[in-house]
This record gives sequence, structure tokens and C-alpha cells, in this order.
Amino acid sequence: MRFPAIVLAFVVAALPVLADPPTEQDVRGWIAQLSDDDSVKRDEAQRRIESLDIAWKKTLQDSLAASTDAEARARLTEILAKIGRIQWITDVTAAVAKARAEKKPLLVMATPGAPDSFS
Amino acid sequence: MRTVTFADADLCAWMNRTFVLAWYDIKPEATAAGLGALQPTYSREEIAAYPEGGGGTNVRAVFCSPEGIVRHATQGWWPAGRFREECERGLACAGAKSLDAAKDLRARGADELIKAANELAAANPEEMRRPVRESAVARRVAALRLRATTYAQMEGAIGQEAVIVLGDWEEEAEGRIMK
Repeated sequence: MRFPAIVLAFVVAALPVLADPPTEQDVRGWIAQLSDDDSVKRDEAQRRIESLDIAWKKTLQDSLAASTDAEARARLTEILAKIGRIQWITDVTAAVAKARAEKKPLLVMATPGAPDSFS
Repeated sequence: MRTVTFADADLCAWMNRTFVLAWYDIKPEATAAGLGALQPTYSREEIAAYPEGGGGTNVRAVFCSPEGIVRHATQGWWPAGRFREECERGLACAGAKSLDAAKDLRARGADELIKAANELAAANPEEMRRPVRESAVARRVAALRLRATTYAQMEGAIGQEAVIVLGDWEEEAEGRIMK
């Protein structure tokens, strides 16, 4: 039986929402991958960790305290500085391009001043 | 928004995962001239007393489809919980299958807010007789109604390209005196 294309498209589009949240094993694996010899794998691991819920902050802090790998420590430090803080893009044209490329919705705050003004 | 709403780490982490997030300074000349604190800083007590929806056109949020078309918009300051609700609505509108579907979602959202306000007011007649500043219930009713009002106020932006809407707001803000 052939799936209608529109049903298949819906299922594919819904996959990120339907995917199971990462497990402890997943996260520990990504943290270990921060020390991988392949820089592409290190970058991918960092992207995955940066998208984690703030509930994982303690795990990341503990990993940083235990890590002896300079690269992993630097990346974990960078991740922990960002986690729970919004990563604003101040070039809206670039933000639209990113949203289009990643097929993600865009939220723009429009107000006087820079995002870090008097924060 | 910066110091209260966006200090909520859970909200921020969720926003980071869910949206591409952009910040548009509607008064870039003032920022570049180092006019720094364009608004006064508030004490903890003043922040706690700051009315929901306050700030009006000085703080707006637009929620766009991945193509950069505005699908939902609101204005004013909202604490983290209320802002999360608007983000959830914005997310639904941004992902709606058509602009008309997004407008329907907004219209239903405004109706729900008005209905919630009216039910809360009807259930608390004594509170509604008190001045707004003296009643948390009356303030909540006012906030719900204000949110519904902002939907109507922002209707003109819906369906427009975000870049154009933001440019219009920047022009509108030129010469406006910051208090």
C-alpha cells in the first residue's frame, strides 16, 4: 500500500515532536563525544548538548568538574554559559534565513535597546 | 522583559529549543549614542507592582512562520508564565497550514481570553468592586482583557513580512520620547 505523500510529509514533520527525550546514556555519550578526534563529531555533540533542557545543567556541571580533557572542558564551559540564557540574533535578515534553513518558527522581540541593556 | 521574563531559565531554554530568536532594536540611534538605560531601573517592589501588559508599543513580540511571515503578535510586558502562553499560541499560529488558519487561532485565542476574564469577574463580584490596584483578581481580569485587546491592535502586522513590519515600527519610534 502506498502512503499518500501528504501523510508521509506530516509524519516526517512531526518526528522531532514525537521523538523520545534524550536518556542519561544519550547525554553521557554526547559529553564523551566532545573529546572525539573528529571535529565534526565534537561540533555535533556540542549542538545536541546545547539543545538540552535546563534540567541537565547539574549533569553538565558534574561532567565539567570531572573532565581532564581540555577541549571537552572548554566546550562544556561554553555550553554552561549559554544554557538557560537566550541566544538572540540581532540581524533579523540573518534570523529569517536561519529560520528558513532550519524550518523553525521565528520569534522577534522589538523594543528599544540591545538585548543585554541594563540586564 | 530582560530582567524578569527572560531571567526565567526554564522559559529561556524552551525558547532556545523552539524558535529561532531575534532581537530588533527599534531605536538604534539612541543605543549607538550610548543612551544606555532608555528606561529607568526598577526596584524589586516596583517590578512586583508593574502592571501586566505595561510598556505598550515599547515592547512587542512577533511570531513568524519559517519564511519570516508574521502569524501572531502581541505587545506589552508579560511575566514568564503569561509570555510562555503567548509563545505557545505563536508557535501554533506559525505552524498553521495557512494564514487564514493562523488568524482563526488568534481569533479563538482572543475569545478565550475574554471568556476567562468574564468568568473570573463574574465569580468574584466583591473583588471587581475594588480599585484595580487593590485587587489581584481585578488586575488579573484587566490583564486578560488587555491581552485580547493587543491581538486586535496587532492585527495589521499579521500576514506581513517581519522585516517590513519591524522597519515600520522603527520609523514609528523615531522621535518618540522615552519616559
